[in-house]
Amino acid sequence: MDTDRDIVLTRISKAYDGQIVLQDLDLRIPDGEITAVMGPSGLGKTTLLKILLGLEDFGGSVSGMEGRKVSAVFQDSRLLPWLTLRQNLELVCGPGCEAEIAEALALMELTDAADKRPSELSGGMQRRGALARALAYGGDTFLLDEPFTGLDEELKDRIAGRLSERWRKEKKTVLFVTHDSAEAAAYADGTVRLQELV
Amino acid sequence: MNDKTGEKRIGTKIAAALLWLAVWQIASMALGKSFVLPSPVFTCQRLFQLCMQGSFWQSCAVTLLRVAAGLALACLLGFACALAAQKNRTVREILAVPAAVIRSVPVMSVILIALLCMKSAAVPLFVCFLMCFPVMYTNILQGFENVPAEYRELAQVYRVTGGRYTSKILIPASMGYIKAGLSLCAGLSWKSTVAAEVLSSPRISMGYHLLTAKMYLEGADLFAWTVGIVLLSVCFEKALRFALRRW
Repeated sequence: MDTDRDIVLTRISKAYDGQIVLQDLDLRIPDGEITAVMGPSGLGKTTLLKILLGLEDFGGSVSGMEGRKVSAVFQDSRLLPWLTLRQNLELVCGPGCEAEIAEALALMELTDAADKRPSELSGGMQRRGALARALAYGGDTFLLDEPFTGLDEELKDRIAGRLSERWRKEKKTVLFVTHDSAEAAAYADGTVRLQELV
Repeated sequence: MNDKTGEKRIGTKIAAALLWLAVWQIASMALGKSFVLPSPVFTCQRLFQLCMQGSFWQSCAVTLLRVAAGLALACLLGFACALAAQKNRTVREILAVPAAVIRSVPVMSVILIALLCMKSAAVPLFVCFLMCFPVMYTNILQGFENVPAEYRELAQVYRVTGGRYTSKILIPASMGYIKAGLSLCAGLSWKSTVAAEVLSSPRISMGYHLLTAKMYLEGADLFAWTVGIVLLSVCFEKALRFALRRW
């Protein structure tokens, strides 16, 4: 069902050094739903997220992003190496959010690693750390670039299942990039295949 | 580096130091004028005698204080100016002129001009600050400009701004450049402060004692004070490096 709160991208185009990455892309991201973006590498999935995050110039228009509090997980985890995991979370959610941090860490099964620096964490733990940061920030919209990469199947099932359940319950708008069609089918309400749109 | 290589390097360093001490000793003996070139042994004896006097330590402390204060001031103002320059291109253009001018003006000119404008006791601190400021400013600004794009994006998305951005992202991400600036300034600050002390001659200072030793042809004193300055400068630099290691 289309609503006024949907995020609507109209005729989005983007090129890097003359190389077209996105051309005349039209897309509607339903508000309060989980949407998976799929497609082969190099088709502009990450660029699409960056455009929504306001990090890239582009041609066309985006509506529905105004007034949203956006939590993001980037393609790389981007935990600041000089801060502990807990401090990384505190950085984005400010003072007085100990409860949110504790909850996010528990949800990501990282409570025991809270006082470790990113260099002491495995790749999968760093990924979960980035997810915990997005959760602790408390956005109403989540833009996630391959958020479950590096997690083993069992852990991914547990964490992604827990997150999708929570996001559905709280009616969060979630857009996540994935290469894995099974992941998209299991956790998303709808899937966008980028190659079909460009 | 394994233990043997480390021991070998230390051994080589000691041997090199002994070689140059021997050269100094031979040159002193060949010249035969201890007031021009005293021997290393005589210099050490004189330094030891100076160390027994309270006035020596008082002068060391005051000079050290001037160096530390001048460097601290250069760091603080360099940081504030770099912060402003990073945010505003016009400020950067305005600051580029004095930074470039101060860099190229000879220390002696700065000291003499300062002597015209202020009390002699204030000149060493001012000169130290002025010599270190462009180095710190340039390095800190370079550090700020080289903060990786991914950290800037992270801050933008999660709305980490103001003091939180400066203290948690900007400064830690620039620490390599700040350390390099401090390392450069550690030696520069001593050289410029002592030079300014020699010319402005405040009574309690290492530079003043250098000047009086030269005036009265006290070669051993001149060398002893110089060795004292070098030792203090090295200790200062090591202490600074040690303090910065935890960052």
